[in-house]
Amino acid sequence: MNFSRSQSLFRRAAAVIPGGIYGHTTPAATLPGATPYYAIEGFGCRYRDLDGNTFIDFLCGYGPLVLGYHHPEVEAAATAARARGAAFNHPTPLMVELAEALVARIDFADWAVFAKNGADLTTWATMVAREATGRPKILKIRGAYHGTHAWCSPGHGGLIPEDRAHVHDFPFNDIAALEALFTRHRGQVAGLVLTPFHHPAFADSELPSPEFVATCNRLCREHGALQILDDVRCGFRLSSDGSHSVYGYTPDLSVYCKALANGHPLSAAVGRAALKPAASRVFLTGSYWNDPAPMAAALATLAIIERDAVPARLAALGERFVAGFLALGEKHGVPLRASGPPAMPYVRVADDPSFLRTQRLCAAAVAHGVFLHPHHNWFLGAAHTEADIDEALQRLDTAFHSLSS
Amino acid sequence: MLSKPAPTSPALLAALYLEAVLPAIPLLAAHDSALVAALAGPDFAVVFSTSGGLRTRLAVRSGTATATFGPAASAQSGDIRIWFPTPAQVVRAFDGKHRPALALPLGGWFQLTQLKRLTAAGARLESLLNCRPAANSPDLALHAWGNLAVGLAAAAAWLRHHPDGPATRARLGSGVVVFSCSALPSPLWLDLTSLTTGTGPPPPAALLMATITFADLDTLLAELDHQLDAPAALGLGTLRLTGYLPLAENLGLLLLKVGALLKPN
Repeated sequence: MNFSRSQSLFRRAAAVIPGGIYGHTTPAATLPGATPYYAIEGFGCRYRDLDGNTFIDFLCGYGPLVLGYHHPEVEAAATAARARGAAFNHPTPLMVELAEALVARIDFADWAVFAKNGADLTTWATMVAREATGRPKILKIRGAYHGTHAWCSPGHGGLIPEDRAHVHDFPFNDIAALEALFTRHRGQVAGLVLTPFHHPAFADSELPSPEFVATCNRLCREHGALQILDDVRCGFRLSSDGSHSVYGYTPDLSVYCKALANGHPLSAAVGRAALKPAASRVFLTGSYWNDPAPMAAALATLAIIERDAVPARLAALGERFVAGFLALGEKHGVPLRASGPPAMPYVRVADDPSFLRTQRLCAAAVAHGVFLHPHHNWFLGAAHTEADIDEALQRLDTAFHSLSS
Repeated sequence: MLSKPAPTSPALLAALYLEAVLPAIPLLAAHDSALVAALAGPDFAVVFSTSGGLRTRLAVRSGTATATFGPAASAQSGDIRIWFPTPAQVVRAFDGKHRPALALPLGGWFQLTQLKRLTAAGARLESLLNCRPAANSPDLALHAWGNLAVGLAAAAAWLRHHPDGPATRARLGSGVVVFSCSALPSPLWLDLTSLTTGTGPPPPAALLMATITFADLDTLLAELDHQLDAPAALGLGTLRLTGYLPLAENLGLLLLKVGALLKPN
């Protein structure tokens, strides 16, 4: 597979952009030289790169494309809103409609606010927790991603110790460690930030034990701390009403983003009525945060997710894909390990702590037109069909062959 | 993470000099005729030590230099033994600022004149490490290789001796990180399990491994100067990184830290 145009453009980029491509889409985090760097267009569950290569996509833009690229209903709604204008002096009625839609859909939600990215609102949620409780401490899962802000960035540059002086972490599913943190910081914990399941990079995904979920719920209740669910990655993929219902969390605040508007830039936070006064005191705005087109896209996306029972569909497709993938591993003598819920699976070579064999496998997959990330969980989209899954598995069969030849 | 730099403990700095800088003499001597010439002469060995069990033995036998440190560096019969009453005196002796240091010879009296050879070798080492040769100089690769070798050894020493060493080591993991560049005499590696460094092929059966390959000396020198846009270099292919990327990333942070200790601005 030829990536010469991608690489040529990257040379220009590297001259004028720090990192060439920065953040989660940097080639450095995937397989430099073995993957495309630039995309041109998407259609359904496939996209085309700058060199004209086409991929069956199992990353879905790192999550947003829950319905697939260029979904006609979503695009029609967004285009209609866009045609009326953008970035008005005021919000449009779409903002109220979307807040009402989220409040109606999510059982504990009494209000909603909107921004552009997950980090805008995970950070804001921690501020709401501090405002509501008058306490400083935030507890979070070790290795969980909540965005690029100083309190949670996985990067190292530009941070000072004070950024995290009141942020304490614990291993996912580690009840004793969580209890110890609540005990050590008794009366000081404003919020516990969780993800529905643990989906770190460079590691298997981990589902929460029922005991862990119950402990999170109990400790927040007993200590008067807010439970903040970062549902940015999972929201509306595992369940059409938020992932807390899947695992039994009782959040006070939840944050959604990726699947919310099928690729249009929008995030949302919802919360309980008792937190509305505190929420209103924590300043929240951005130049484009009232933009109507993404809100129209979100209304359409949420309606389709409900109408088409998308979470169940994603789970079924994911089971088909993971089962087929594991069978291919067995056929080719490559032991594989699958983790995470089927709608957001992650499969890697077992006994491969350095990810070297996983990287080779994913490079071979990409070379055969199936886009898999070696270090990050994958996503199924409603645009995938059974035929797409089967075609991907056929291509992966060839990829396995290429590894052994 | 940026923070107000805490005063560095002399014991830690002494460990870096004794366990990372001094052992670079035999390492580089294997590739540098000037170092070999400086060390040439009759066999001799010297043990530098100070409080806290810090100790390094440098030996020249049949023209070949070796270095050991820690418990393996026990003085042998006939060795010159130099005792520094405090780690701070070790730092004064070896930090290149040419300050007088209090050093007490405890043995090997008749060999003391041989220390002149070590002084000459130290001057050559300092020049090799600190003076950037011209781009067309054959010494440029050795300069880069030597700095990288000292950096890796210093990272290992930091992990052994800094109070945060165990916690940092736990974060890093227990694997091997290999650095290679075709322009260098050989690859260099750091084994985070044993906190050993070496040249050539890495130890087998390492659990976690990351391999960092510099396409050319320019890229390696930019990295050593903290001037490399690493994500861009990775995308361009002038830097390649395979294996467990967090291991390499976290080690990079530690290398920055020890580099700042040995070469403060």
